[in-house]
Amino acid sequence: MTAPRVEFTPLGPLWVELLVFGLALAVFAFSVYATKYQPTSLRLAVSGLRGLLLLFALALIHNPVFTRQTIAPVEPRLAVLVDRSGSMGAETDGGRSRYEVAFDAVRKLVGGGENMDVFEFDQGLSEPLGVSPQPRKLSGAETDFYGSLTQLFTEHSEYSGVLMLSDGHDLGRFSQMSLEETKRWLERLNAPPINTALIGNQLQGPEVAIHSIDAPSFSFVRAPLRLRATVIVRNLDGYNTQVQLLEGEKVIQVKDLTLDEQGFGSVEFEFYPEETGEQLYTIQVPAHHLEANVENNTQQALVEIGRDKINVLHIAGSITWDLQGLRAMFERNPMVDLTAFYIMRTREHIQQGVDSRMIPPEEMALVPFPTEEIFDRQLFGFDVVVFHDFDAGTYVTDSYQARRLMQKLREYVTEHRGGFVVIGGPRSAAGPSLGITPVAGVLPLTPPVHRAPYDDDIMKPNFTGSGAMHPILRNFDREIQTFSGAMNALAENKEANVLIRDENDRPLLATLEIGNGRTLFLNTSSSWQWRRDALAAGSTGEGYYDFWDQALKWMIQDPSLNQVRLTTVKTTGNPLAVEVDALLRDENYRPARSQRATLRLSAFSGKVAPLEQTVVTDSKGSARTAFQAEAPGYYRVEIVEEPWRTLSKPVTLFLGGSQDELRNLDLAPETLQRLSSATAGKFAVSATAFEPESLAMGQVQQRTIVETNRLKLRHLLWCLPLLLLIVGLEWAMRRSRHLA
Amino acid sequence: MKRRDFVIAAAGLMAAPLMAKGRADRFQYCLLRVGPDWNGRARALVKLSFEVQKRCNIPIEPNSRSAGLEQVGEVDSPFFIISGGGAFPPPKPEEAQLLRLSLMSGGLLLFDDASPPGEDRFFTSATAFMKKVYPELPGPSPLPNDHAIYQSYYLLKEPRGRSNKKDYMDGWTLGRRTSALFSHNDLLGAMEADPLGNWVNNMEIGGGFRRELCFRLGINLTYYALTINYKKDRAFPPIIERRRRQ
Repeated sequence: MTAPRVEFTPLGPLWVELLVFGLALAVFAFSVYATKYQPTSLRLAVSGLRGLLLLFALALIHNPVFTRQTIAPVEPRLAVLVDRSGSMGAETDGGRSRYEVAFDAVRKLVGGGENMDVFEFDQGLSEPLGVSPQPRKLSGAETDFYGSLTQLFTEHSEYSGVLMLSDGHDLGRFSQMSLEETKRWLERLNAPPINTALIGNQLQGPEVAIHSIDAPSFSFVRAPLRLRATVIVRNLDGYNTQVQLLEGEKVIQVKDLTLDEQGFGSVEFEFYPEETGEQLYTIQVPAHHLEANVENNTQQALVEIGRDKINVLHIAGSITWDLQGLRAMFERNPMVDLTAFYIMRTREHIQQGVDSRMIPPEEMALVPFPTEEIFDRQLFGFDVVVFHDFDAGTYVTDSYQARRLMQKLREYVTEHRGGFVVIGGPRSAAGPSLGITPVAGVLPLTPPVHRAPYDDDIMKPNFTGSGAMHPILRNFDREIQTFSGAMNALAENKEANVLIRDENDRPLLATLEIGNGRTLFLNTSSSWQWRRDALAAGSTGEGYYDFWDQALKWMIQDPSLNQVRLTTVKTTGNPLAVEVDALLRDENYRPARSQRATLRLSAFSGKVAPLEQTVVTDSKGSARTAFQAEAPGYYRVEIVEEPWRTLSKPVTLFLGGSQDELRNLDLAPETLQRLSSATAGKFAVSATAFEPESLAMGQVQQRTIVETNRLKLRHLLWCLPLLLLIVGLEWAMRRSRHLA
Repeated sequence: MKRRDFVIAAAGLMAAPLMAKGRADRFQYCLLRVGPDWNGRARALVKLSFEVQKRCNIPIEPNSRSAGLEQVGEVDSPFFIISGGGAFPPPKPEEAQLLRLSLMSGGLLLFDDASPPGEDRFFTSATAFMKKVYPELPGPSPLPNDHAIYQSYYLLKEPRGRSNKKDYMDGWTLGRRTSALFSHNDLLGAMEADPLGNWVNNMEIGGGFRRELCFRLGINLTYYALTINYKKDRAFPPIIERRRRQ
């Protein structure tokens, strides 16, 4: 219990207090002055009584309160913080996760009956876990020491010590702070000693590890993508090795690693992704034969590859209205980045003016066909190559060069996801045929090796079975979009998908999926008339644009045109959950109704058993299901059964809070040591190293007020009689001396 | 064959030279039958077609064709030419609509003014004509010297013709494409030759080279109709600029 004390309530600001006090002093001074002709003893007595009266009045208007408190000291209390970020899911020697190891230590501490609260933290602090804390499923969130500790010390001031169990990984602000900044931050928060315990196996001996990967989360298809990896080598002097970059299981690039004096080295990979969607890239460094831990020799990065433009190379063999129509279509489409090259003259064309003078090249706006520049250097940068009535053999003079460049074009289609469109016309029918080049093997329709007759008739198109539902022909009007002229004697590739034939069964439009690319053959150079005829017939003429827009989309393998489509939706609230929408259509794009299919979610690490869900499609061929992953990581969603498996493209995705958290699973004791040293706490390399009595604890700063008694003086019953008594005495004294 | 079918077939055969419709995939100039002297420069297009065939990689019909405004929708090669020197009537609404559709779907219309200096009835008529076709456009505007028509095949500094009235061409431009042009200088008059190859009209100024420049402009207009702004693609301007400075 504390001694009683008197508390006064101020009347107002300081100047009010001074004014009142000055007034009281003036009254007192005047009263003393008024008794100047009286004997000294009387003056003293009357002045004393008046002074007492003034003091009493002053005290009363300040509302005096007697306060007496009963206070009890607070018991020392410990806050135990368990790291539940993604990296704590890494396995230790015993096959158990770091998180589980940390919880074993927590249970032991709680079992000792100590005065403590247990919290978890990752990006923030959890609520206290209660008297019997249990481990939960890790969501893979990233670690933020700064945010979590700030939250703890802001919301709780009752702890005299902290025990933090962590692997030391931090992706927040703390890692960027200097030791001085750390100290200032903790002092400002009035932090008690922080004891830290490192969870996980700290390895000794030779070690080669990928320290970090610098990768963008988003990039564009066929645009340069740079990935930088930092590798650390410990206890292996003069070690030389190479670093590999893999896309799936395919090695894309290999780079030599050069180490600095501290054992760090970095390599940068630059390549051109050719497929859109989430792509998982793996960077790995070969394990040294003396290395004990090889898990950290590999790191992965998931990069979403998007598309901003469709890079089209348009090569035309002659200048026609069809060329103009297609070019206008490309110029109209904001997605198309067009590189065009049109053969505007050949060796057969004589540049002699009507004034009989030969026209020099300087007076013309023509440039030579840049064969090597286009086919050797830039080819793989295009999404679609269009040969528009182009007899390639005419312009590639050397047969060896021609064969090599056409071989490269074939490689572009089959291995680099290229789209190759051939528009047949009189020029390609009359010239050296594409049929004798290596490209012939990747075309759905192959021109004959001899001159093919070109038929000028108007042909009415008929859809084949596979053409009826094909997305390229979704708005195709067979009455208006007729074919004026077509090549004869075309050979059909066995794998080709003929979409349109004429009344004599001649192929007019065909597609082919070969290797990982696609090709399309349009057997007419009159498609430009479709728009004009549609306008004349009173329609909008959009059918022409729609045909080519859809054809371009199909050529670049736009996911929206796949027969079978898997779409995943993740939620931020539950980072381990994913919803999967499946759209099943057969190879001719007919919806697969009431079809049973199995969807599988499998982890790239292989450490988690795959999950499977069976769905049944509705009348549109759609179905939906959801998965809940067991642990954070990279996953693949795919369909198990054929033919859906072949027709679909698996979806790669990351489930969990943070990819960065899972990339480097090495222990980081330095962060924990820094926290402990800044707060006079202790650091241990084992969770079980701490006994409750060995923890550093601070002084108890805070006490608990058990009871407070307050007594307001002006509410006391004897207060008024006392006042009247003083007034009465003063009055009696004045009257006894006949004073006024 | 019934008598009626025979008569129709015979009428068709007789009208064939007049229609002179070429192959759908080939380029062909089309004179529009507008105004009293629409056919005054027909031989010029034969000569221009020959020069195009000789110099350019454009599959072309050797003869031009003609069409009335009501037939515009049937023309497979929509490079239209209205030639003359005097006033001509504006199109009827349905004709204007047909011509508009054809120009919007890739066609090009060239007005060639053969009138003498000081005479502007053809220009006034052309402006009124186009007001019916493109009511949303304010009127013709001079084409800049770096327009694609001056570099689509040959490098030209300015438009030439038999006369020398203006050193620019006017154009009706929608978006990035000019779909109608006005030549003030009697371009076809400079190209016109008789069947033996003799020039029909003397040049007002200059001689052979100036006439050659007229053909170059005609060829450039043809290429512009077929390749639009191809020579404005990013690969060409530096090369063209360098050649122009030489």
